[in-house]
Amino acid sequence: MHFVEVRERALQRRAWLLTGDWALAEDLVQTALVRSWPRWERIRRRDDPEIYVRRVMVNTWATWSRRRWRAERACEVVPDTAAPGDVAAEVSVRMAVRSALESLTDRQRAVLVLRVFDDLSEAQVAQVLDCAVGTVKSTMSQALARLRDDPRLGELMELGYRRAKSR
Amino acid sequence: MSEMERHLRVLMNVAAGEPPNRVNAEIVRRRAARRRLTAALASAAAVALVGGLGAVVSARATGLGLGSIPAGGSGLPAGVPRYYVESGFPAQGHQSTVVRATATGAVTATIRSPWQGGG
Repeated sequence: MHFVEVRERALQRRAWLLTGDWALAEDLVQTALVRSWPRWERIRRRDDPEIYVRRVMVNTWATWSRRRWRAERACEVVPDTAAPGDVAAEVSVRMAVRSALESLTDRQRAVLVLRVFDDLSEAQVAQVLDCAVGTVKSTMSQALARLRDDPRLGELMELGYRRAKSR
Repeated sequence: MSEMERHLRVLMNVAAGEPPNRVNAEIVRRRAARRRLTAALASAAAVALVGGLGAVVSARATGLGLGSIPAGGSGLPAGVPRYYVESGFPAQGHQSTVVRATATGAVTATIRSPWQGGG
């Protein structure tokens, strides 16, 4: 499946933004692809596979976050081990972004990730989430308003995160 | 895209970083096959369960299978009869066929033969 080889990194990164956890993100991507697999030929003929997989991912995550017991998180490696190199800045950004995203509802997070990270248009986001464009607009504006109040994220945005910009 | 959205995008890109593991097509294919097998087994089990339940219900309805129960009976075995019939050759002028109570052995009735001219 060529699509998996080409898109798996992007899918995992998007899944991380939705879940905030790499193990869950990997599981989410696999589940979304497994669910799409039996209909793949039809998806390829009738739809944009990327949009379809995105939709499955967002819906699956919405279902998981309703059902799953989330007090304990599965992880492949023991946390709090020493990481090679100086990753303090990246870790601090990661933590700030994760905590800011966690303050949003699942819907707001999905809209934000699709609109900002994936750079989809409002109409495309509406297509993925199967809702009206107006709903996307209002959800996005609510999400941004909430993020604007996040002090750590605000600080990072004010600094413009020079390191990332310089890349 | 607004200034804030642009900043957010940069931050999200940095935060998402690089996935620690790769998801390959083989894993997906294997999981899809396992999922299909599980679904097939689950539907077979459901069919078997429904079939079994149907058989039990129809057996109960027709009175087959679990032992037939006589109409109006209690469903328990009849047990020892309360009376029995004792029959033998006539001797000493006694009536040969009598009905006795099982518990006491007392004669509760006599059966007279119409061919022996008995009264």
